[in-house]
Amino acid sequence: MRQSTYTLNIEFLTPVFIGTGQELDPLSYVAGMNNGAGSCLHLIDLEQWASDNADDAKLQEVFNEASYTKLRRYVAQNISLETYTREIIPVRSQAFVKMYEQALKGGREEHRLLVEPTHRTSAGLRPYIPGSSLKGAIRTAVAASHEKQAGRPKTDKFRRPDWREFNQRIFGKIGEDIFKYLKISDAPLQQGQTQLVRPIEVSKNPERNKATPKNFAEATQSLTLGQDLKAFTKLIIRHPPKQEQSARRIVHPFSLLELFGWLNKFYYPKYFRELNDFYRQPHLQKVDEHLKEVTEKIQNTMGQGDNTYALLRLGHYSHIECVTLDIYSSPYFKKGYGKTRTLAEGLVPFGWVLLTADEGYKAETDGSSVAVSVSQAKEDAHEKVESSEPHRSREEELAQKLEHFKLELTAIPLNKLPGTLPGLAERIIKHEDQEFAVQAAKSMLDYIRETKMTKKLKQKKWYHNLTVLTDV
Amino acid sequence: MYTQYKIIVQSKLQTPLQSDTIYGHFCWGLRYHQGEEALSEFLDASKKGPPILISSALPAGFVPRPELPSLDRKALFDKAKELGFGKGKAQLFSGMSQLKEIKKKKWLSIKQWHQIRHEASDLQVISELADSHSQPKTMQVSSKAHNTISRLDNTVIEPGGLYFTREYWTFPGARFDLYCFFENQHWKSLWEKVWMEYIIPFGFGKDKSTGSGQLEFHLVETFSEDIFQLDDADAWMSLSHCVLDDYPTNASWFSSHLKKGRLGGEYAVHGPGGGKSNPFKKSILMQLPGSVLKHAVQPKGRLLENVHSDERICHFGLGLFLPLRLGGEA
Repeated sequence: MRQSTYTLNIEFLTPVFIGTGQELDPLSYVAGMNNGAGSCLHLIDLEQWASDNADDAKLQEVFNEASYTKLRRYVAQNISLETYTREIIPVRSQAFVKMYEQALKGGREEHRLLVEPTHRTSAGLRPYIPGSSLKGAIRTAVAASHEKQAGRPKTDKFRRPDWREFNQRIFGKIGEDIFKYLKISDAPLQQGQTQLVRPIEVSKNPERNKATPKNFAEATQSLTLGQDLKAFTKLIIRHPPKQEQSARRIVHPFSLLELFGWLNKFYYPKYFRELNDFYRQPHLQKVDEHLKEVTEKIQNTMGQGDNTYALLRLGHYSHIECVTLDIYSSPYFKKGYGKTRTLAEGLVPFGWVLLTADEGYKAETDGSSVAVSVSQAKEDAHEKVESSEPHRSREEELAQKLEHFKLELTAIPLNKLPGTLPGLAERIIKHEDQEFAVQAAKSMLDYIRETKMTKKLKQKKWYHNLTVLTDV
Repeated sequence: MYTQYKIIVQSKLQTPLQSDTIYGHFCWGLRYHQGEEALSEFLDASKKGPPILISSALPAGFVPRPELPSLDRKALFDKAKELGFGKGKAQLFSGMSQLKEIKKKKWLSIKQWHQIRHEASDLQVISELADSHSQPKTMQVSSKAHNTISRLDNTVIEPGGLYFTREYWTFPGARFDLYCFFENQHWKSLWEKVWMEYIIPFGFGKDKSTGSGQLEFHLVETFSEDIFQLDDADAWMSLSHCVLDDYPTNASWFSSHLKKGRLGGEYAVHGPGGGKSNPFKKSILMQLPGSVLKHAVQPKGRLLENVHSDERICHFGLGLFLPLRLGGEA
């Protein structure tokens, strides 16, 4: 069976948090300093320490008192971190440090400071991004790219949309599922490449003060928060044998470029829609500022339009738009959805990564090929791209950028268009590429006409500005 | 010819490296890469005089502790006194505690094996293990929860959306030995080819498609066959998960487990005849590595038939055995 093997490079644009469903017991960690490198969380081997200090009368007394806070304080003051630390997690969140100090001073029992850890290997305790999470995020995008072709989903006996049946229509029955030909391994990380952050909920409504409290989470480092980070994993696309190629399913055997195309078609508009809907609101301006570098990076790389890069959103706090289909999704929430976002430290959204792929894969048994800082390699990558990319004409470049803009535009749900278009229009009007701005403005006006919204919107100032631009 | 390979696990495993499972992977690799005829040829040869015998993957440098007749009560007390350095209650208690710890030790180093195999008895094994502190630390098992989200309504699919998997993670630096016997060079070459072209690229066991079962496989050039040679051997210790032949007429000591095997490859999702799938084989009682059979002739285990409604399906109960001479009262 033929196959193509790639090294999938994952650049973390914003922190990625993939939870395990578990919470760290407050007695399983101690917060401290890491050789002058800032605050950190030491994951400790409490069992071993207790066993080694079994004769300590004071420890026995504290155990017998059955008070969490006293025991925690005693452990923090007496444990040798050099001997009993299994893993160190840098702490980004200053709020955690303060709360921890308060907890040690004799805070209330219910302030347990629960921490949600990331996935770790059971034996070596090294963090990693599960291959199943990567594959799941990719599958969502591929399903969304084919849902229109699949048609309306059936309902099950509880009148809920039957995802299993719909899934089979798109990908094939379990024995013929096209995704069995896509293999993605776990992406290992190194110690110190994750950090403890505080997920903070923000609302579109600036007057809303209540936020759902969230546990502290161990997320990856990233371009926007912490140190920039790149991880590597193996991706294999096998070519199905002849007898399996004609199986009944909508998704056909695909190449890497096609796969990246589907990812961009799904996630690229999602990023900009979220940016416009939330982070360009006045009360969330600081988020937009923090995302400037990421936004430019996405626009520059996606703007090439050749699908050598792919945008993906991974993990927890990806929000409903990125984990459900576009047309046929029917999420049920009593109080509605899509009104809030959860941000790392209240500054950047979770989950955005940029993918590239190189042919071939070479594993290092000691894991030394894992995540690296991107900055050092930036110049080399830039040179490589410049030398290897074929020269494209101005027309081709413009056509590709316009194509991407149209994708973004058509991905906006109709009921959200009136709210989203003003931000989009402003972006076009201020665009540095005048030629692109004019063409994009024309596309936007044509789209408004197609959706029969002209009568409703033509009185708006931004609409008028777009027409002026197209008359230039 | 006997050979030894080193296996390095690069990711998590969700299927342990047992000999019968490895055989199964080899068969599927043979079928995909060489065709149905090559597989039929191998199965026919395995029914007559097996051309390939393999062990389960063992911690590098170790062999299983042999299952031998237990010490009688007097000998047990004497040993406890020896270990506890005295006859008093406290010393006896200490000695018994140490015996209890020794009982948990499941592996002998190759050197220890060479010491005991000439006159193997439980007493000798206990003495060897009492003096040593090392047991291999290779794998840790953990249970992980997964959920499957419906992309239509963002809820966990019911039923079956929440499920748990067992994962085997190796400690950094852990290695495994795989011992093999080949009838001739042809089978050895075929074996290595299937490993390199099928098992290594595609992975081993469950959830290969999300990164489990990534292995490295290396031939050990410096392997010596001494461990498989012993004059006047009157017993054999299994290195494999196998089905012992010629028992219960022969004396044997073993730990067994109930194997509920599954079909692999495409038969995991559709039946061998192309119809609805029944991926489960009938339950089989198999003997674990370390089982000892008292016999003058080297056993090989059995290729089991009639393990599935489709008669073509079989299960490898074949195994590789180390020779030893029994001492004591065995």
